[in-house]
Amino acid sequence: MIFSDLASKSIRWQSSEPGSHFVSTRVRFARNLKDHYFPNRAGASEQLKVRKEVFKGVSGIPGWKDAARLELEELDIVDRKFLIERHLASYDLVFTDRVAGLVMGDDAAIMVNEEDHLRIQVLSPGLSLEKTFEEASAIEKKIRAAFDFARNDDFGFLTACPTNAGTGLRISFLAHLPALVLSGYIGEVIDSLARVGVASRGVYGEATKPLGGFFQISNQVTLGVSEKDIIEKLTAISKQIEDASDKAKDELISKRKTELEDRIYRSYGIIQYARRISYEELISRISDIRLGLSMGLALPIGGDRLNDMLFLSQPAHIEERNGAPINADERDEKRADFLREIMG
Amino acid sequence: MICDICKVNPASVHFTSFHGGAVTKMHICHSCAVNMGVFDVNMQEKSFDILGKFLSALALPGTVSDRKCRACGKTLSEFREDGKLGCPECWETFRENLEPLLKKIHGHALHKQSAEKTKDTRVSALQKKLQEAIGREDYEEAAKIRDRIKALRCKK
Repeated sequence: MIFSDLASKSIRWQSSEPGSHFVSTRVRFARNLKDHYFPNRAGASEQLKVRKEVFKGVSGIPGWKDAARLELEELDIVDRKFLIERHLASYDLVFTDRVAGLVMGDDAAIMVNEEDHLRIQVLSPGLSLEKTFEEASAIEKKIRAAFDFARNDDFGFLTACPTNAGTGLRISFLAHLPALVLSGYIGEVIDSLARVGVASRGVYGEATKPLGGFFQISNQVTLGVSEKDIIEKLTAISKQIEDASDKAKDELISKRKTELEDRIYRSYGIIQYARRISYEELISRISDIRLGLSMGLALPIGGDRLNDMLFLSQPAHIEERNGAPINADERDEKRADFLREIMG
Repeated sequence: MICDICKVNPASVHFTSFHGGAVTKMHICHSCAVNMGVFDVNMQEKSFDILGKFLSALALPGTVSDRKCRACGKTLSEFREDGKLGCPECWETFRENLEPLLKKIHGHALHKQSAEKTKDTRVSALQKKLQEAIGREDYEEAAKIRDRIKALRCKK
């Protein structure tokens, strides 16, 4: 466990605006080096060579000189889970038999030998598709100057999986849509998103289930479109989602006000007084409180503290801070202690 | 591949670790992974490789013979199996199969920036044919080719 310090640090890329629809934005580029087999085909020695090359190349880039460079085989299970919880790495990076690495900045990271040689990603608070894209793009350009990326005119950037080729660009935003979930409209929203080529997933991205009304929404099409097309599409979609969510909320308030308020205040009470709480329950309680704040209910808690509750009380965060192995019940108790500490 | 820990169940979680001065590959089964605390509420195993299967279902049967990438040795049937290309050269080797697949995934067989270029290439190829047709005084064919060039040029 090497992340005990980081595990107490608040996450900067989250919107502290309480009750906002959009928590964060993420932009990632998939890139491969021209003269190497893709990670799935490369042998261990070639994977190692790629990792060395990327680590060395990145250290020469302004702003990335002092970024931590992690070799995944050095990390224990808790560290690996911690990186996923922090949204710095994917399941496929930390649980793979490939020689993998991670270059870690504060709000940016480069995964090495995930599905592609490089996955460059940048996170920022709230909904800021264009600005985050500009930031990520500036980093990508600097990295591109140091490496020869595999690309051609017909297919754009060449990736290991055909679903990522062309721009190699995936933009996503983390949306909190509790009113759509409670009213039951969320199914229609997700189906409709799929029809227009937009994916919705759980909080931790690919293959994770949605919890507490949090959804990761991203573009599916990466080839045959420009970066600008992708940003425009997601911007338009986000506006519609916001409208739909507001409508659902108004409807809930007009038809089920007492039920809703009861649920929200109960959740607040549980956060305040629980002596043992699972992360799954916590997410749904925080979701209720966020909804309450967005309705203007008088709850004496701000967005910053809610974010800390949500992110710093994830399982591996608690384990990292504890410094020694811990069972699930003990973890749930430590979580409840941590929440009361934050509530003051 | 069976689990390194229980030696009974098939392995589905893989990771590398550093042991005795060397990088070791670990392959463990779902239940041993659960015991090690790999899976929490926020972590879900991907054991079906369903994306690879979707892609292989979408990939058209291009040629009867199994093609093989000159650079990395990946074969078309392997690509159909896992949906992953092995190296940049694979994109050329399997172009014939990739274009229809990309069309199904992205709605486009080629990346946008190259659409103009592809059109230009086709126009210049047709112009060459036009000259050949005129050369052999096949004016009927030449008129047809001229119309095709016109149509291509008008197409956005």
